[in-house]
Amino acid sequence: MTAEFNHSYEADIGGLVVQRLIQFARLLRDNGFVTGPEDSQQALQLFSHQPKLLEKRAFRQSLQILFCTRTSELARFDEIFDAYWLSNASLKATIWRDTSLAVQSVVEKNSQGDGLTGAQQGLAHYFEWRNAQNDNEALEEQDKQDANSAKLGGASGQTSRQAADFGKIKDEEEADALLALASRLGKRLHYRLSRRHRRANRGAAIDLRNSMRKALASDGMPLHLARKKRAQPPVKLLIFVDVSDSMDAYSIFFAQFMLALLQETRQTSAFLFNTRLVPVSTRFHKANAKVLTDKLSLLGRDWSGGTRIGEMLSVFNGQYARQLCNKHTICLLMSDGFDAGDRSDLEQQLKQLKRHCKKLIWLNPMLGREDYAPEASGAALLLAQADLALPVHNLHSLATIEKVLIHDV
Amino acid sequence: MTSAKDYQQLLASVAYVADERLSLALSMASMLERPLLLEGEAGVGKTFVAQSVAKATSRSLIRLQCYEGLDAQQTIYEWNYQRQMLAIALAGKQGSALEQADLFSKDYLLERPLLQAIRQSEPPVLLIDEVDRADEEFEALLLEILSDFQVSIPEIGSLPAITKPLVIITSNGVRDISDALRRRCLFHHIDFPDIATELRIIQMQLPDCSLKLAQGVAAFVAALRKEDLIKIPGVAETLDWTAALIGLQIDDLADNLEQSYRTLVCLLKTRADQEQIPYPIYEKLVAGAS
Repeated sequence: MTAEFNHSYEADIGGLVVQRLIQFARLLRDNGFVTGPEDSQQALQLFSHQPKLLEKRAFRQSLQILFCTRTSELARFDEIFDAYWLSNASLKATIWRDTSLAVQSVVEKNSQGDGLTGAQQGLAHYFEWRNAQNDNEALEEQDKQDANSAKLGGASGQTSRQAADFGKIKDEEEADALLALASRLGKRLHYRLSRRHRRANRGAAIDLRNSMRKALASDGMPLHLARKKRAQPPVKLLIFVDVSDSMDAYSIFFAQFMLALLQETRQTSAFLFNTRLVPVSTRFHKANAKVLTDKLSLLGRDWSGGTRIGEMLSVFNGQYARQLCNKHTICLLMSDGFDAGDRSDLEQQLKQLKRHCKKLIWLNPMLGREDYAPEASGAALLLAQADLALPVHNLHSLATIEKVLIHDV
Repeated sequence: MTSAKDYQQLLASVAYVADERLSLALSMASMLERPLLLEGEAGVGKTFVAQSVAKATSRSLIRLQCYEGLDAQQTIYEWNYQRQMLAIALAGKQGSALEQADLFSKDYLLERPLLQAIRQSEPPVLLIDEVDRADEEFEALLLEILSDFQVSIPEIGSLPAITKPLVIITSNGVRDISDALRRRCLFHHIDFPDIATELRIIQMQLPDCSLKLAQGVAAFVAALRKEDLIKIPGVAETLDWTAALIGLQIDDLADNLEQSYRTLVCLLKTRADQEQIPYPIYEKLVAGAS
């Protein structure tokens, strides 16, 4: 392939540039960018026709336009570009090559210290990516095992990670891994709920019965064909995540799960709440765990005297319910049920919420504890009003939500 | 071949302020004949790019607005079924022969936007707007057309492109679109404009606006975008608000605080956002902006 590129463009833009462009495209690919040989070919074609684009600024911009496919890649592209094109030769020589373990360990060692050069950072990212790839492969393997053993859509309870109680995780790395799994569960849940609605590309099938009925108006000639209407998505999810202090250890995982669902489907609406209700806007859809944590800590500042679920539901019922709920809506309320508000108000608002939704499911992390009984006034009320109460203290229990929802499809 | 600089000038001639990167992306899209995927928040002017390019280059604009349930019949082609039925009935009454080929000829073909776009004698601008609103299956349809620029109709055969349109696809990022579609496109992310760019946009779009008001509006909107809003005001909202202020003969935001505060409905489109910016905050933002 290299020879082919060189043959066509060497004369126009120089053999060295051709070689390096191909190497750079390879490096991007190794770093997870979705680029193919035709992108490299088009880059060469472009520079061959417009040599002006080889100038520093335009060169970077045009490669970015060509090789990047999503916003999240732009910053990463700049890092790799700087590492490859702007740093010293010895590091450049290692960044694109399929590396040996020895080189990897040197770079990882370097990346521990401060004052990294651009190239070292680029290399560190490269190895980070490779490690992530290995992790993903391991996860895929785990998926296969899960499918064979439990035939569940979500994670199985086979590993200790999936059974670990969210509230007892202290290790940051472990928490990150669980966040990633919670995110995957959310995405897979969406797929499970929507998979039966894939259609043929040719459009909806003809509804013969209705077509014949319509033909009566035109003397039996079927002038207007009726088509079978696409079934409405079966489940519309409405999620409330309690982010009060008492839920501190759990809320980040629930919120991550919720974000994954939001990113996948427009059939989900979500709110965070403690003493006030915060709709999770479309801007927030693209947030990652870091942004999420910031947002949650901001919410935490308002915390003064506990959660008021009744007040929060009152705002929801008054302002959002008509717009967001219908007869297909299933409401997931993720909370421990500790409520500092008025009991009768909570009861009334819960009844009203139930009228707006098809089903109210209370997801309570405390239900996973052996010594817990929902005796607090808010918890007892929620238990009485909810159609279903489920424990959600670990990934395995989070995965069981899927089974419950599939029954409602 | 239109260079990046040419595009910048062309777009400026129709009052669109394009930065260097966008002009380069447009130039590359037309040179490499690849679709350009524009991503960014709602209101940053993605659709307006396509409209402006069409206007500036005097090409026709063919727009396909995407939504859930969009399929081949609405986007590529459809047989004019009613006309076919009438032709059969007429032939039956007249006793004339009617071949199948007669019924499935181009006379009975209803061209939808994607087919229309490749069958023009002059290359048009094809705008596929908000592709993330359509289903994933629709992306598969696009892949076929955008890579081969031809449509296969079983009854007729393949209809190749007469000219290749300049394809601009926009996405608000509501749903992540597939890697396969992304890979076929060039990519450009449009951000909200900075104060200087927004000032130029206001001056170009609303020549009646005084410099003082335009500066005040641009600085205020930039500050407002940093607030925790559900719907961040876009460029269109800025222009609406400026037009409203001009209509009310307000020349300085700081001197007409109460009156201008009442016009914030042009910028804040949800109840929660309006509650987020009460009068004291507005006052503070205006003071900071000026």
